[in-house]
Amino acid sequence: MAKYQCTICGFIYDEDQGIPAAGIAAGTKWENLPADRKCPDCGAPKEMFDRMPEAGTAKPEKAPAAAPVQAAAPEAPGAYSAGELSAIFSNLAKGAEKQCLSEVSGLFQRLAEYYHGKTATGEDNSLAAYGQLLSADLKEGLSACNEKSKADGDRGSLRAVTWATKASNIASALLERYQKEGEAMLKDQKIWVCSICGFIYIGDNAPDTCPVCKVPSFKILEVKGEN
Amino acid sequence: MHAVRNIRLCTKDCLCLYVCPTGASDTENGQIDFSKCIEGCRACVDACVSHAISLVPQKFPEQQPTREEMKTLLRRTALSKMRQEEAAAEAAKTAADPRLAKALAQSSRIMAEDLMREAGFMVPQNAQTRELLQSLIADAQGDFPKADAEKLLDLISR
Repeated sequence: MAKYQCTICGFIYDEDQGIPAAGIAAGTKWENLPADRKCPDCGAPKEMFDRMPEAGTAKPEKAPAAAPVQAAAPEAPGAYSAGELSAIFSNLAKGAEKQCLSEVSGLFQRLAEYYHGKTATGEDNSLAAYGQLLSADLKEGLSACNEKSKADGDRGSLRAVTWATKASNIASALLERYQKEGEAMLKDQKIWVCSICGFIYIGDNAPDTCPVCKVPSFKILEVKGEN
Repeated sequence: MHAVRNIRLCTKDCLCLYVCPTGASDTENGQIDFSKCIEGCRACVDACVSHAISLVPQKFPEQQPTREEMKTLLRRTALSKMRQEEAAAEAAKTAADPRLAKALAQSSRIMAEDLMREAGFMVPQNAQTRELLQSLIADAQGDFPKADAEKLLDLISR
């Protein structure tokens, strides 16, 4: 029988074992699991699982990557935009806080807020617009980053891009559900965001460790309702 | 290098109080008084049985260089994430239950921040951060908080 692995957190569904604790009897075939069944560890939807190669069989030859579309060399970046500066400075504020440099942290935070106030684009600010940008990231921005960091052997960039890709996939799946189910999906549910990688989780308690970046749960924070 | 205490690991064994020659580890706020801490002394670091104290360097080693083309790709994606933060945060303002939109906004910023860390802004004290502040100060106009930026540049350049 086959095994399927969650591409977000690595959880393995083994058809031989099922998940008796969750009411899935041993021997339950993957295709017989309901379409809305989610990864028990990270909440990823069923379609984010990959079938694992059978033991003893050669790994299926990956279709030779069609000659990677040579993305046009990106244009040399100009000066930092207000959005980038806001992210740079809010991150450095956190970095300074970790070093217990509260004055430095406060000053970085002030700069972050200054630039945050300059970012308004006046463009379409709906969740649909958010979703379009997100799927463009997954198709283009993040995948270009992924290829480039692998080609360069740049482990640091690859790490950040891997986390961002997983967190973006989860965000995309949640948005899709939300657009189908509406706010009923959130009723009596808590929402959590990993403050390190941006992974979003819906459930009673935050996972013990973040399924994406593996930080312990005290860094996974609940999103409160007040506007 | 001064000592800092990780409050989450500190189990109040108080061995740091016994060994600190200046009383820097004896404070009301749970943190170490950096102004009393002796550069590189590390007596408290070695004494702490809970491994709750470590030394933070004054100067960090420079981040390993990221190629310019990679930086461009990271910056472009980070900027897209910041645009997503704006869209989701604005959408949250009109939702009956704004939590998911808020979560999406927060998540977008966290990803943007992390991508920018790899684009050369890992620690506050590195050369790229200083150069950025210098250029922002030089080009300052309008309501840019120049005095704050100058103060910050001074603090991280020491």
